[in-house]
Amino acid sequence: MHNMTLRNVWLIAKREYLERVRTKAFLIFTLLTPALAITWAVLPSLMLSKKTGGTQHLVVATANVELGSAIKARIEEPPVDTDSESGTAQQSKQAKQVPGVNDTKYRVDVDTNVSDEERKALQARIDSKQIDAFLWLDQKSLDNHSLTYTARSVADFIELNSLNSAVRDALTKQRLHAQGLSPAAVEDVLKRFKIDTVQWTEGKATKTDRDIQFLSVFLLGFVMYMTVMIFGMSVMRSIVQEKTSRIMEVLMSTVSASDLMAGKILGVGAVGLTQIAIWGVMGTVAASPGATMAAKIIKQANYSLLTLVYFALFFLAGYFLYSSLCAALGAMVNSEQEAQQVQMFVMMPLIISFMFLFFAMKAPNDPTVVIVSMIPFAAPIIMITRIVAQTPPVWQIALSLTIMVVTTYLVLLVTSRIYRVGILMYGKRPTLPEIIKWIKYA
Amino acid sequence: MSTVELKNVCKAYDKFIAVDDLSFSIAPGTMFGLLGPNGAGKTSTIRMMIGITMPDSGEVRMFGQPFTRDILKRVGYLPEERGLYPKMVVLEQLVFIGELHGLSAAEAKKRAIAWGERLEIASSYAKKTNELSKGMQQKIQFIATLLHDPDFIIMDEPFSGLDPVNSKLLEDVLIDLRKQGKTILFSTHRMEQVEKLCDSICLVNKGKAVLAGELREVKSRYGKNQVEITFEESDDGAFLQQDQTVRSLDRYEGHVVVRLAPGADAQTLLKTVTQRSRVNKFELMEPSLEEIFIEVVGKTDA
Repeated sequence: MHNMTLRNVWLIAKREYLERVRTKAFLIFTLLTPALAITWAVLPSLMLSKKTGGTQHLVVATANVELGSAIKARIEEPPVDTDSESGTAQQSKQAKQVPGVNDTKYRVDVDTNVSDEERKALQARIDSKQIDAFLWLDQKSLDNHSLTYTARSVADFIELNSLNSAVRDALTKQRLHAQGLSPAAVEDVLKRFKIDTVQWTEGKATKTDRDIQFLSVFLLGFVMYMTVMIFGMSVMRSIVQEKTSRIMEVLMSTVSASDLMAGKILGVGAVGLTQIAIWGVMGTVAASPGATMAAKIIKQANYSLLTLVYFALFFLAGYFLYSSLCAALGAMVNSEQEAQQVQMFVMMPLIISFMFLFFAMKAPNDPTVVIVSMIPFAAPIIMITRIVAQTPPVWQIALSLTIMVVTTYLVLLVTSRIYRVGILMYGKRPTLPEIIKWIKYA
Repeated sequence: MSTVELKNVCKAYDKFIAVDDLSFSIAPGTMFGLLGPNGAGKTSTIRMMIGITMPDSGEVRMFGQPFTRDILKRVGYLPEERGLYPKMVVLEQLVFIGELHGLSAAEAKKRAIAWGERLEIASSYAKKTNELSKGMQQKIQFIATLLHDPDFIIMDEPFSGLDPVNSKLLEDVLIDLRKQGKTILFSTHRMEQVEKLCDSICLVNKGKAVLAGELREVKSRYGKNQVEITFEESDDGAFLQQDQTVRSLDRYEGHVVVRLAPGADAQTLLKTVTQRSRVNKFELMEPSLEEIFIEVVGKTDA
């Protein structure tokens, strides 16, 4: 049964592919997913900007006039954040342009009256919508480093954070100034450092952006996860469906189980890749944020062509490995409900890989990471992480890929055995010893 | 050389013994009935012939050789329930199955259309399979089995879901195929069809062959132990129930069917009846296959 006849594999793959691609469901799914994705991406920011956008009228109540005006200046004219570790100035400006991310404009009045009556008056002004919020900064709250923000709608954490740093900055400046430092000196002291990262590979400096790299690996893993989720499950379902009908008896009287499995995985797999390709083209044509973002990521992360080839190779190998795992589970269960229950056995290795990704990014050459990157079910994500973080020796990459391919083949063989025996057991879920027996049984 | 030969085949699933030391052979160009009650091991036996499972012990030989997947190109299999892709267009489905059996797409299409015309179903070829009635789907399945012109045809309940007209149509095809020298195996519990079509049978029960051989020979083995009597008695032969020569009795309007007790002489019965009534007809008959079936299975179950 091990001699796969390519013609049969091809015929089965072709049928699976054509039957799926020609369905209305395929068309709807292909069109609807980008529409949904765009809605998801745009809608929250629209809602967010509705809430926070525009001009908020804020009153800062403090007896200290100097502090009050410093806070006013800081809130009304927030400094462009050129110095965070997370990117270049250009990027941050772009970030500022994204709607919904802290783009609220404030109009600030300073109120020097911090009596209880004034507090009540301010509360009343919120009720009558004359102001949107007020910051209460009496002497006590200055001593305790705690202030009260009273607002009609309580702000999100981004907003609170920027208010907090505004007050802190103003206070620091004022105190340093009081110590005798000139305003310019104060500015200089407070200025944060900008960190550039340089990846040193084979005697060449490549200016890279760790965060973007991290993001790209994460995205790749995410795409993998979604693809396995959608199309791996589709392999599983297709096997369960055929098991429950007698079509498989007809098929098995002509082709071997391993031909059938290989054909199915390739056919359904190709549907997934077609869909992704269509989305890719749609994204590029429409110049959707996704495509521009992807192009930007590739550019900023400074990936070489070779890295992109590795991406493709590991993605394909991982995809087919996971699909064959889905096929194995499909061969063991008897109904789609059961298939859903065992779905987590496929998702678990992916999720664990995700959790390990952070460590692999930090220590790409740690012996544990090296070993994990050789484990076939973790390799698609972890080896890519290593390649991005610090390109490992080619032999390790090749070994990892080879292990994945061999594992896929083995899973396929085991699956076809389980399938061949499993179909005879209608209506009963096999126990683990039974499955082991099936695998031994030729 | 037999088309199929099973030698001491055993097959167990876990602790359940599905096939127990089964041997039979099917001569080329004959129709063979594999009979037995539900769960007797018929389907398990067929699955070993088409390589879905392997025997635990014993041997299955086809066309004089040990089983290989290559041999399956010469075998056509029709499963008991519909084994078609429900959402696939009928003609495409037939071409796909034909291609899997080694035909080119063009040849498969040509043959499918020819068969479709013969079985009066070609007009439904553009439809999806699940749009067809059960009987029509069975015809499609029938065609799928025969497309690659197999020498050995296995049919598991081929006439289920068919009306008498279509049933006759398929019967004629099978008789035709046998004339062409094809070997055909039926698995069924419809005894009247077996009696009409089969040359030889094997009756299995609980995985064992309980009765096998040529149909004529098997029936004669049971002898002429049945009598059909038509007479003018008004109480429809109730008096026969107490008779020593009668083992069992079926009473119908105007006639009775009597199964003789072992060793009983039909002439004694005739005398008894003539004493009570005028006899219009008194005929010694072979038992029907159905009766043999019920008797044999009943005996082995006891």
